[in-house]
Amino acid sequence: MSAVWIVMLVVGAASLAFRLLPIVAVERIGLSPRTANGLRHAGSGAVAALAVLAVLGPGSLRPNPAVLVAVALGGFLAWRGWSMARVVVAGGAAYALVTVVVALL
Amino acid sequence: MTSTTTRSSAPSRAGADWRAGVRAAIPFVIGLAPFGVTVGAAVAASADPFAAWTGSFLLYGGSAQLAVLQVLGTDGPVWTAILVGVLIQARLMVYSGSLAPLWKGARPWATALGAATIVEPTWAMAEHRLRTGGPAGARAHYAGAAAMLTVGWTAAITVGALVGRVPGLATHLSVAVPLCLVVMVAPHLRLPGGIAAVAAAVGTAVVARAVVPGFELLPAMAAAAAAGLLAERRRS
Repeated sequence: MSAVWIVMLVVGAASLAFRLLPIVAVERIGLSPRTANGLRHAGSGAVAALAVLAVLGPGSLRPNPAVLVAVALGGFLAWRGWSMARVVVAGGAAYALVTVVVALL
Repeated sequence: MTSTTTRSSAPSRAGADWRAGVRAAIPFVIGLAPFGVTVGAAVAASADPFAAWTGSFLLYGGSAQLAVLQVLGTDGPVWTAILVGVLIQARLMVYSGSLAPLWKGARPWATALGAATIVEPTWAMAEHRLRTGGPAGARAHYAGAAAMLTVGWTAAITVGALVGRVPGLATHLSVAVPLCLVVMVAPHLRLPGGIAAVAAAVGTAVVARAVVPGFELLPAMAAAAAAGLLAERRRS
């Protein structure tokens, strides 16, 4: 069995446990409104943190300016209620434009 | 007569909710496709592409799949890849706990199947559906959204695995990842305490990247929960 198989199976099993056990636990002990709100904030916090880490890139603290511009524009458009597909297209266009401009400078 | 009508309208209502879930997931599938292709490129570059591809189902999370393949691609030890994957996937406990009421009274197999597809997009769609449409039909809506997302996500990874060895392609397509994520987080900013929660998570993630790289997510989640609840309390 290759190392890739071992990692996929172990992390896959852990992932299923992370997904299933809280549902079983909440069914048994219930969920107060305050806890539900806290979980909601934590979930959005995880998504926001993943976005920031994706902007920064692996192991870096200096974001690519083109990515930064694209995400700033995408964030604004998402705030205005644009759909995901339209935000990705608009942000991708901004990324391409800034990448070309930076390459020409 | 009434009972017959009720009995026949229940499945059609569930079908309508299921189809609504499929439709809700389509923009996510389109938006996430470049991310899937990026993951597919990493799958193609793996030492065992088929095993790496099965991560599309086993892990069902692009960030974790990409991260573990990156660790393995740099000849990192197996236990490091496992630790990285587990740490990234630990966030799923929060989504799962938050969506637990969705499966109240459901059969165990339905709960297990639904739980296996909990990830940012399905969580964001389910949260939105529960908030705007209430609990009635929310489970069928979730099932439709999860089915559509699974088909689209797997297809994108497969395409990426087949054509992903184009130099520079993955680098450029990866801009779609933060774009998709900001779309998912945007609705939360309009909720009480939402801005405080997101701001705290962003700040904590940046600080954690500098101080404890690789361990950013869990502190960011804790900071978001604390700041969001505090802002809610001050507001009320």
